[in-house]
Amino acid sequence: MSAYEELFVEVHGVKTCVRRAGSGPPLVYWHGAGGSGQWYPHHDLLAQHFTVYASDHPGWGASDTAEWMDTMQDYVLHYDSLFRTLGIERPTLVGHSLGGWMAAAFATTYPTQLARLVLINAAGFPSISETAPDFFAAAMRGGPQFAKLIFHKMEVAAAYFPPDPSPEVRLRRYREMTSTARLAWHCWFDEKLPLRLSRLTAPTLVLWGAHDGLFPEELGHKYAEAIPNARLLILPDCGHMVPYEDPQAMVQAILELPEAQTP
Amino acid sequence: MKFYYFHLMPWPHLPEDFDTKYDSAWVDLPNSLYDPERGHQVYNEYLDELVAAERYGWDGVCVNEHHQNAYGTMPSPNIIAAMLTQRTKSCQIGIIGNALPLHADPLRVAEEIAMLDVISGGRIISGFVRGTGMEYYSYNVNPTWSRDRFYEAHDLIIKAWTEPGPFRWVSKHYKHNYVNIWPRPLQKPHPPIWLPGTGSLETVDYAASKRYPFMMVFSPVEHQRKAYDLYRRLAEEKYGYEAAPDQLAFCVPTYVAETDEIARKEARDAILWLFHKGLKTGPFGMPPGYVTERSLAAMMQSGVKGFGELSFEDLIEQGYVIVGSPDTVIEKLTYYVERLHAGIMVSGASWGDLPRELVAKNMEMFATRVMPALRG
Repeated sequence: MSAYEELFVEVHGVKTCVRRAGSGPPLVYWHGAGGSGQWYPHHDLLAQHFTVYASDHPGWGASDTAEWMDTMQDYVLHYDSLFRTLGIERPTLVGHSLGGWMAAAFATTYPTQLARLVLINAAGFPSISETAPDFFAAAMRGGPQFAKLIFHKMEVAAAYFPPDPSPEVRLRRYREMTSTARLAWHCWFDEKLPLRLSRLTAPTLVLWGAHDGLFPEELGHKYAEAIPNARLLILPDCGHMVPYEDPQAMVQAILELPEAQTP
Repeated sequence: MKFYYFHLMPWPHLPEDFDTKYDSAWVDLPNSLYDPERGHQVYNEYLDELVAAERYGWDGVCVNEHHQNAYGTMPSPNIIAAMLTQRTKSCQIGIIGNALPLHADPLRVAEEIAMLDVISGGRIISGFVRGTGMEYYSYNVNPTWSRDRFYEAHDLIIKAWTEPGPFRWVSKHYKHNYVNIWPRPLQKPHPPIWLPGTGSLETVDYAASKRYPFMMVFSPVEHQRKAYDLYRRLAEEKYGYEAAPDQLAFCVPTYVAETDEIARKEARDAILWLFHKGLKTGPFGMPPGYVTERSLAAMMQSGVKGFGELSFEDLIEQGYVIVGSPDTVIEKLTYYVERLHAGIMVSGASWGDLPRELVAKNMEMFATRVMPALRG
């Protein structure tokens, strides 16, 4: 594991933790409802090719909670300011799950500010499945049932879902779920997103684990169809948690994506 | 001590395989298990029971709001209260309470309570609650809004009742150009407000600050003592007054019979129905943001067990319920009066699926053998 530095950036009074390592062109990684608060192997692999900025969203990990941040737009504007503060220009933006929705929202707001966009099993695209599980009830139930919903490789799941979480872990998860609920309690999508995705100009990769109990493969196809010239890659041996289940495949696919032409 | 007769109006006809087949009596328990034909009889028996409570001498009758569940089948407590204004004569009618954050429009609550107060001749007690965690799933209200909406709705309703309309209202969740409710409530300045809860610091402090009666619901007696001590201390040290017994209420299921042994035998199944079936909430009890991280940490530290882990004996020993002979019940209630300084008992006689003849017996014994000893 390579050394990383932990930066605390204050944006509009909200202290945000960003972990930085590596060298080369900038890459920003946005976690989902979980996956905050630490430097993960997928960050490390990316840092072999990029200057990686892995942030804890406000409300997660080592960042402050700002209860007023309860829409995707709040996060998009927060990160635009954070990029300016850190001098991050035209990054490759990688977003997983809830962070994928956030990344899609950022890209529709600032289409020319990205070198590449990577959406991994992203939330945000409208779906009206009668049978889709209720994420929050499933997450609060936890245990093996929830792990099966999001992981295909159960040996990987075991590392992230200990059978008897400590009180500290339970409190941390409750905070993460609370921050997630501020954004996604009513639904996990934005009805206007498909229309707005037509604004995207950066080369885009839609990367999808095929066995996702939350956001099925069909949504990956829909994302790719809505984004001009998007590349779609389905990983047949992964579930929702692609960055944890196959970080090498994730990094390889990102490296194969061309950069946007400098305007 | 004052006595209020409380009914949850549970659906008592759960299937035999409920315990093994379903992990919750709320949210996703299929409503095919509700039988409207039987429901007609169940509702009317419950209503007759509340009417009888006035005859037996209870000071008031109480109903409350729950949604999409078998534990309490009053999605609109105001409808039941409306019937009670016509079927009772002079007792108070407590709605404990309306779940403010669940409603898109608190003005509707302000209007309905005002109607009931005028129609009943000023007999309404208006409880306000946040609703259970489960109901945030059932109504798809964001649980992270719960506290903000509760306080905003409370302030809007009180202002609508007490200040001349029309006026404009702007808060984060509610915005109105014309607040001007017709009718206005009869009681001045407004119907009494009660706050039922489970003793979180936030709620106890809020109740003490407003001098609202605070009602502990289904808790160990030791937790009730701590909450009342906190209320009394906050009243004295922070808000500068001495809390009276009629500001401290407790909701404790009670069963009285000839002897302790008979009482335990007759009450066991129904009490366990309440705590093991009715209050079985699966994954829905604590949606994200419904409690603060501080409250959750305090709950985890307190080591309180889930209802499902408590045996009938635990429930009695820890004081979640009071079951016994008249002497035993009087002794335990005396502790509430003398040590807890609590002056309002909100209980009743009908718990879970208790058979009707035992409901009638429990009611009669409590009213004739227990209540007189505690009337001060």
